[in-house]
Amino acid sequence: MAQLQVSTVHSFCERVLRQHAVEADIDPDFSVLADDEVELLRKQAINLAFAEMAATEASWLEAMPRYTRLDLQQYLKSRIRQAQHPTFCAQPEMHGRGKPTGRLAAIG
Amino acid sequence: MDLVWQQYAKAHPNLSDSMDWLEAYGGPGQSPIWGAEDKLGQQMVPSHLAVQAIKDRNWTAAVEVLHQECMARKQGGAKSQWHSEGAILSARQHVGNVRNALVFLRKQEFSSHPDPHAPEAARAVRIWLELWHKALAHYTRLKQERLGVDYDDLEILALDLMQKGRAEPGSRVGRFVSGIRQVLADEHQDINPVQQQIIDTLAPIESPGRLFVVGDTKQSIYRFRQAQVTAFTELAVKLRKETGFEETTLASSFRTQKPLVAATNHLFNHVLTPVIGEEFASFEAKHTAANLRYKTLAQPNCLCGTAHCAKTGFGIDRGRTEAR
Repeated sequence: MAQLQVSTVHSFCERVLRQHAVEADIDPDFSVLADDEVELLRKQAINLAFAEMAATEASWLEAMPRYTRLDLQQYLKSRIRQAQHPTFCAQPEMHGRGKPTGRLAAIG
Repeated sequence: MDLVWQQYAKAHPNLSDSMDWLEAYGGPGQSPIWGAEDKLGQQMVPSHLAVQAIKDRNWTAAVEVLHQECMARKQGGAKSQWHSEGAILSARQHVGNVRNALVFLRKQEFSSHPDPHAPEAARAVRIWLELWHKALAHYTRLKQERLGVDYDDLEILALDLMQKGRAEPGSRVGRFVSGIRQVLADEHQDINPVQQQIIDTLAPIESPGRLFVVGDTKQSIYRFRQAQVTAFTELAVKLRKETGFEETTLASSFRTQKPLVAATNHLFNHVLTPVIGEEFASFEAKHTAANLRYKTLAQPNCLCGTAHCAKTGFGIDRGRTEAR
């Protein structure tokens, strides 16, 4: 029987992935991160990277005199986005298709 | 450098012909052939200058020519400009010989004058790469710990899944994908290329009658989510070319007023660049009962007031106005 299903692109994607979690190689209990949560996680990830860098190389920030810590943070944030989203390949500075990084452990 | 150049010239006997040929070039408009203004023609002046620089032994100036955008192209040449296929081929050959020589010179330039800042730069690049890999790895881990996916992951994973389904029609995903008979997409101006690919997979335009899209380029607001307004206009062009269907323009607005629409049309003619060969349709405000009432009540010419007016009792039938 014909049915009409109305949803946003994202909720459609979410539904399809949950219904075909095994084929999509994703945990069916996945949660969709809200924009502010994503922002927070990216910031956290970048700060962890800074901390690790500082632990191994004391004067790492001085090696890049043109950038402040904040510049680097913002630039890295947009890069994470670009690496994930193949759309950015349309822009001249990116080459190759970014791999999705959100792939979760397969169940079973 | 002189010696290196002589060796190169000796190893490439065609080069001196090409240099002579380009040196004889007197600039645009000097002869009918030299007037060519296509992509190949644009390379003529820089190539000519490069030859002169080489003859003056000014290697730096010669290599700098390569930075010009037009020199990045290897092809080009329009028959309407060059009059014959032979003229295009020989020009392409000569320009190509000189370009190869310049590329060789550039390599030599770099190796003969090492940059004193190179070690510092190399360190900065290494640190930058390390930071980047660490940050990305942490972000991935943090997401995995929460079993979380962001919106980008959702789109990319769903697209992969559906493409898999298309490739294997007998599979469970395949049956799901082919079970979707029609796709109706609203606000299509805010689509990003991955979402467009999802729609392409669900409703390929080759199979007629499966795709219906509505959008308004003037309302694109999701650029920060990689929405590309050009994707929408390109889809319209593609549909027309491949299926012969013409899009329908809904240019009449029943819920606003003429001065506002005129201002919008005026503004967007400057703001949006039409796709080549495509014009943005101007909107038109239709005279409605709502508009009349606005006028008699001497309201400002702006529909932003609709909700407000309804509240303050000016009697605008909000439901009816918006529904139209």
